[in-house]
Amino acid sequence: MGSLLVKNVSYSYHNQFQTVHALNGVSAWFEPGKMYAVTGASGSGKTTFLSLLAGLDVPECGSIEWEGASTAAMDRDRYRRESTSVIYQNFNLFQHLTVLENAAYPLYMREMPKKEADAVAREKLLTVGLKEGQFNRLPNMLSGGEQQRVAIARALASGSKIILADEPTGNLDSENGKNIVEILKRLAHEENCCVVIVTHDHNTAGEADVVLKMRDGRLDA
Amino acid sequence: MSMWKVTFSAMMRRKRWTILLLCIALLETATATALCTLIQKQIMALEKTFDNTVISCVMTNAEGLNQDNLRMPSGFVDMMLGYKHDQGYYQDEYVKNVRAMARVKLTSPQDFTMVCILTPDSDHSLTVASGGSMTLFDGWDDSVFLSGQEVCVVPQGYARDGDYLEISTGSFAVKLRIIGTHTGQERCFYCPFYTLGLRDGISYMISVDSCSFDIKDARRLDEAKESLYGIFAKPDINDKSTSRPAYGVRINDEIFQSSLGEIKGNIRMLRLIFPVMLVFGGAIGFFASFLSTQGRMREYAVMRCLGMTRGRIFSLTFYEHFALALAGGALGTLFGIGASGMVTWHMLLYGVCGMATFLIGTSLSVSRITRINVMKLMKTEE
Repeated sequence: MGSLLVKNVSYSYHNQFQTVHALNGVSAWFEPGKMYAVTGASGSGKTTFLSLLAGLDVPECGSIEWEGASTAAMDRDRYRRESTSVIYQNFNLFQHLTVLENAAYPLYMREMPKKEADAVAREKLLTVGLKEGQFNRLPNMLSGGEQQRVAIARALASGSKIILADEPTGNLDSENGKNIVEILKRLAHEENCCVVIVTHDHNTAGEADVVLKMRDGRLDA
Repeated sequence: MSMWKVTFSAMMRRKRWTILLLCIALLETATATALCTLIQKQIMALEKTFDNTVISCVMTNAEGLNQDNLRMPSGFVDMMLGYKHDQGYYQDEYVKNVRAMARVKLTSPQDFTMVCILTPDSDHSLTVASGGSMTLFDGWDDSVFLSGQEVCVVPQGYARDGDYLEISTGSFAVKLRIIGTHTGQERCFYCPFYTLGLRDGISYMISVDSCSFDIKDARRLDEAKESLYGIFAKPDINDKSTSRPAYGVRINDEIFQSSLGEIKGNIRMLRLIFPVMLVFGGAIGFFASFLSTQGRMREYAVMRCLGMTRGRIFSLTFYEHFALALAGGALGTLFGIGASGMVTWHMLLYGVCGMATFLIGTSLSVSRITRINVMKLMKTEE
């Protein structure tokens, strides 16, 4: 099983007025079967770090390697499609697709027949604790915790081995937040996924196997 | 396939924008079809004007005068009729319904005039408006006047069917069979135009008092004018030039020209409106699609996060717009056809143009979404 290697990564945001150095020489190593928490204050570069891990862009300096290949050199669309899944604080579900269709979306993208894709998604939705009666509802008919479960089911359905979660409990009450962290932990330990959670919630970070602290675009030793 | 199905389902659930875009496509196509109908109707009106308008022409002298006392050699009438095609300059390709009249003073019977006519209406005194009429005996019709047959029509009560009339012009005497009577001028006989002017199949010169005709095909009016004015003068009372032709033709085409100008102007304007409407429709399509896709930026960003390629996002969104354009276009065309009550392939063509412009407008807008910076967008959204 491959691991995710971050080597001396730097990244900046540019606009016509200024350049913001979001990451400065970040290095880390993420193994499958573990849950990592990246903590830090707002603006410390956590989300940027997660986005680079997700392959949404490539580092300006350094590299991110998955199974020995740099994300800068690979087909990143395919990397995102097959190897990573991102779970966001605001769930980012398709509002005009049903719960089932949302969960099965990564499979539709791979041209899997609808019936087959729906069967896989159904199983994943049940795994994260949703009920059959909710499958044909639209996301806005579910609670925040339930929507986050749909997002996790979508990640599970895609079969990705890297699960990246950006403040997954940020919009949830403590009970629901705890449940979501439990599911993510189970994914790491039982499904052998590499789960990276960006959070500034100490309780969530406390559940992780490894906690990485980020400050001013750098990871603390 | 499942991706297309799901995209279609989502589009159907996105009711407000779907209905709006569908209506825009429908309106654009319906307008294009309606515009086409208007153009087609104007073209039909133009054809009717060409077919139904009689453009009459009157021979005059070069000043535009003496139309009833021309003293014109009958060779010019031959020219109009295309009689004896052996010299050129014939106008029968351009003119029809030639009416000509030549009066010949008879020495016998005395005080009578023989009027050679091409048609009964060649002489005003025989027209209903003048209170005159001509009645031909059984077995004869008006076409006899175009011939050189030795027949004549005499004043009512002068003779009966089957009688003969002996006439003499002084230099020429002939016995004519009486084939009808008239209530026109009392001391006139009427005979076919060539009865006195044809010897052994050759048209001889007689002096023509009046001649008029109609333009054969109004579509070729300009061509006809060019041909006629190549031989005759354009009547002008002020033109005293000695080199101009002795005879003129007055072509009464003012009303025709004004109707034609009006219809052609309408067609020109409608044809000008069409591209403007297309551009306008395309722009509306662009803006509607722009607003629709603007509200879905996060959705596109999520698609990118899930690993969908830019091309795939474009094709899926284009597919949505294409489905709407197709549905709206079909409905719009049907609506246009229903409203106009006619179907022509032009209408379908215009409908397709309307639909295509809508699609171009929306495609321009959709192409924009493939350039989104997901990294920045997701960060902003957070």
